[in-house]
Amino acid sequence: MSTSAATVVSPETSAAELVARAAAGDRGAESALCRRFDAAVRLFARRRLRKPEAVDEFAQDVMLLLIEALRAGRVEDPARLGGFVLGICRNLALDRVRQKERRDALWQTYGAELAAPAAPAPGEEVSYEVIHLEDCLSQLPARSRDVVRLAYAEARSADEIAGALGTSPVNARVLRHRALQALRSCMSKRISWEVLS
Amino acid sequence: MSAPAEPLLRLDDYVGGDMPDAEAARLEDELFAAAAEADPPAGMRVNDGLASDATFLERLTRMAITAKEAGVFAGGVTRAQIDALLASPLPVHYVDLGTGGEQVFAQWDRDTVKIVVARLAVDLRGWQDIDVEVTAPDGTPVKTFRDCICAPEDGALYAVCHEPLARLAFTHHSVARIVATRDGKRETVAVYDVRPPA
Repeated sequence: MSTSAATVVSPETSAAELVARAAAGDRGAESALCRRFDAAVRLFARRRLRKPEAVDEFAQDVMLLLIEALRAGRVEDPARLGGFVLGICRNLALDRVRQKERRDALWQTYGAELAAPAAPAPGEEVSYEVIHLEDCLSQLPARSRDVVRLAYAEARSADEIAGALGTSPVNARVLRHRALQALRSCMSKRISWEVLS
Repeated sequence: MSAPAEPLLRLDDYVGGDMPDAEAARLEDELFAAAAEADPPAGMRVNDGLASDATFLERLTRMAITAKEAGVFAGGVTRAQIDALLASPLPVHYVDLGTGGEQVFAQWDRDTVKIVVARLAVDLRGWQDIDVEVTAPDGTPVKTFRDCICAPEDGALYAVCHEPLARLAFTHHSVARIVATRDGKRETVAVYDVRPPA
């Protein structure tokens, strides 16, 4: 397999140029495109999948298919790359539904023979962003913390959140929006303790 | 249910399942078109349209999962949980700040310690709406810990944080006031004048 050295990619580089460069073997262009689509692909997956590992796997599969298409020169209209990647997501989502049906049938038949895999060990290092979130969460009222935990850490539906909080789904959505806005406002500032520095 | 105009809230409705499929499909078209032309922001401090809001929401979700594993959402821990933490192989620095007054935070080894625990040993059982208001010595507000939960075993508050956050919090002089409500009256229960390690 031939590879080309990765080149520097500026944030202003258009998607069309990155597609052309990727087709010519520029690995830096491939990486830049994957970074650009990472959040969109993951949110697409989160709407459909609950488990974090399933979201990771879906995102990886989409990126693999994107890279394959880029290297094969199969992106025919680089100006519509967003639609191309969205198409990969939608096709993969349909495949997953079919796979799940097949998998469920296999589990019914053979699942008891398999041992449960061990849970992965939690990560050792903590990023600045995680301690920033820790700082911001501690400043939210308990009800808002509960909403953030249920909605984002546990991927619960609006109905489930409403049930857990003893409120209506409409009110749960309002609470979720307010908590999200409060968190973004807090996280767009410095960590509160830095006032002391 | 009215659709919000703010991109972040639209994305939240999309992920949370509060958006009908037809509208979600339109949002997906917009989102992927925007993502193609924008590098993701470096941090969490931006608010610049659909693609950057998608990055914020995605990072928040991933961090929330990590934060949940670290027990950040609870607003308080039990003494039993602290004992389990101290008995675990995790390097923990434990400081008892007593019942208030002037205190010097004991030094810790920054290279090895992962978690720092500070005990505020006031018995808060029977108090409600417990907040801890932190200021600089000159009164400049730093932050307020909202709706803290005391340990049921001894009524104390246990502040548990990752070492990098402790480095910001406990290596500078600060004043912490525990404010809570009992019998309908809001009161300052204790004041800690916390000085950094010598």
